[in-house]
Amino acid sequence: MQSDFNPDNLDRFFKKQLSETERNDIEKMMAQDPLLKSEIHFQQEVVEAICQHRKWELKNRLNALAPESSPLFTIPRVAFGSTLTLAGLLTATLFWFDSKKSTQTPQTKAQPIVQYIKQKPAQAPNLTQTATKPIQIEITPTKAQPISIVRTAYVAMHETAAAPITEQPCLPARMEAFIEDTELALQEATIKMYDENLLFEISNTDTDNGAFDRHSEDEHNLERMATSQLLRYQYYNEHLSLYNNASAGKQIHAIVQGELRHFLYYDNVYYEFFDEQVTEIIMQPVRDKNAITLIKEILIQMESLK
Amino acid sequence: MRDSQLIEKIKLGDESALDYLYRKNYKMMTRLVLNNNGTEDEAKDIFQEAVIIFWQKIRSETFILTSKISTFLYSVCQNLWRKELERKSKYSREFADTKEYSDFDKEEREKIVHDCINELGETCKKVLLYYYFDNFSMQEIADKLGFSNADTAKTKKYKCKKELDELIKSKYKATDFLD
Repeated sequence: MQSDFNPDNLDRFFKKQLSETERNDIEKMMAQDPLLKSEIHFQQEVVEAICQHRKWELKNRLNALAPESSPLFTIPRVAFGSTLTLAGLLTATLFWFDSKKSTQTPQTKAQPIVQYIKQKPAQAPNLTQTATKPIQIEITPTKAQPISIVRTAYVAMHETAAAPITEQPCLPARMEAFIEDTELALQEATIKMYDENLLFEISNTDTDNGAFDRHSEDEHNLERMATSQLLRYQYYNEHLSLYNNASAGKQIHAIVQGELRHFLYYDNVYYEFFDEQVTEIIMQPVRDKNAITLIKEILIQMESLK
Repeated sequence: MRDSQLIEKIKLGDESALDYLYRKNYKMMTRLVLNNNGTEDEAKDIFQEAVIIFWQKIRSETFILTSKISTFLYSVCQNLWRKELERKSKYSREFADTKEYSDFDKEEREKIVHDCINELGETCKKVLLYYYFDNFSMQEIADKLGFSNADTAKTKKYKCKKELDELIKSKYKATDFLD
């Protein structure tokens, strides 16, 4: 392909936005360069197919609007008017009843996290207590770390338990499943550079576990984050994507007094987040000194396992 | 909804305006085809084409609507149906078979591209569809899809297109697309 061909002109070429001179120039280049010609033909077919695809989308949308089921087309006007009036009265009545109920400020997406943070300090871990209890640890390895450290750490810490953990019956199986999923995810990890910011991304083909799907809507959230530089990472359904990160952060999932808590140690800051799907980038720095000390202890113990 | 309101909504890419337009004018437009040797399916097809043409035209900078929307749609339906009737009467059975055969390859290639488009992420798909078909500007795409600015949208479009090209080429060699 000729090196002086400007690819930006291709779109304008297909949209017929080029001047006659520009168009003739391209056609001349195509005549002289068979490779260029074949590439442009290929691109033309792709663009036409994209347009056709969108047409089909819109047609399917319109097809779903079955006019025969629409009251505008099937119900006689008088009956339609009566139906509308009745529906309006019914709606107004329901609205009136509903407004009589006590109202509660609907929680915003951010509120549960704020509530969580507010509640948790009262239940801050007692270090003396946790020192005698085994701590189940999950660490998401960095690129340099072997994957097996996840299971090793879990098994090692569990086996050295001085006393059984007081935990909800569902936790061990869940933790086991989580390790398995994480290991599988890491084995299939695809690492790609993305807008120069995303350094590491875990993807998992097992979407049933709600793993990060790079084809999901969150892909553009990642980009928005990266470009706005609000945060350097995203935690989504137990998978972590790190941006521009020279020293990869560590996820720590620790059962503290029978409750599974999730932390991230990243860039010398400790964060805590939820064990649930996070669709917004909402993280709170950990201010609980006891929790920070606990995380530090965990990190030291994990280092010693290497 | 007035025509001016409808046009504004369509310019913003509000597809519910399309729904409204379709339902409002369905009976009148399909009657044109039905009264001229067309079936219900053909009438629906022609009217859907007309609505989609209108959707695209409205977004074009050079298009100026000088009549009511229904008048415009009616004339588009007329033209489309006339072309369809001409096409039907022009081709003999033999010639139609030949045409179907030569179209088969193109349809096959189209199907491959469609499958690849469906493999793209939802955001990538929307960026490409909005850009190439709906003629949204980069700023409009950025606003619609939540990108920070037009440059980001442009970069995204470039990457998505590249991803699509590679997907297609991985399934077929580029020479397969030569006539």
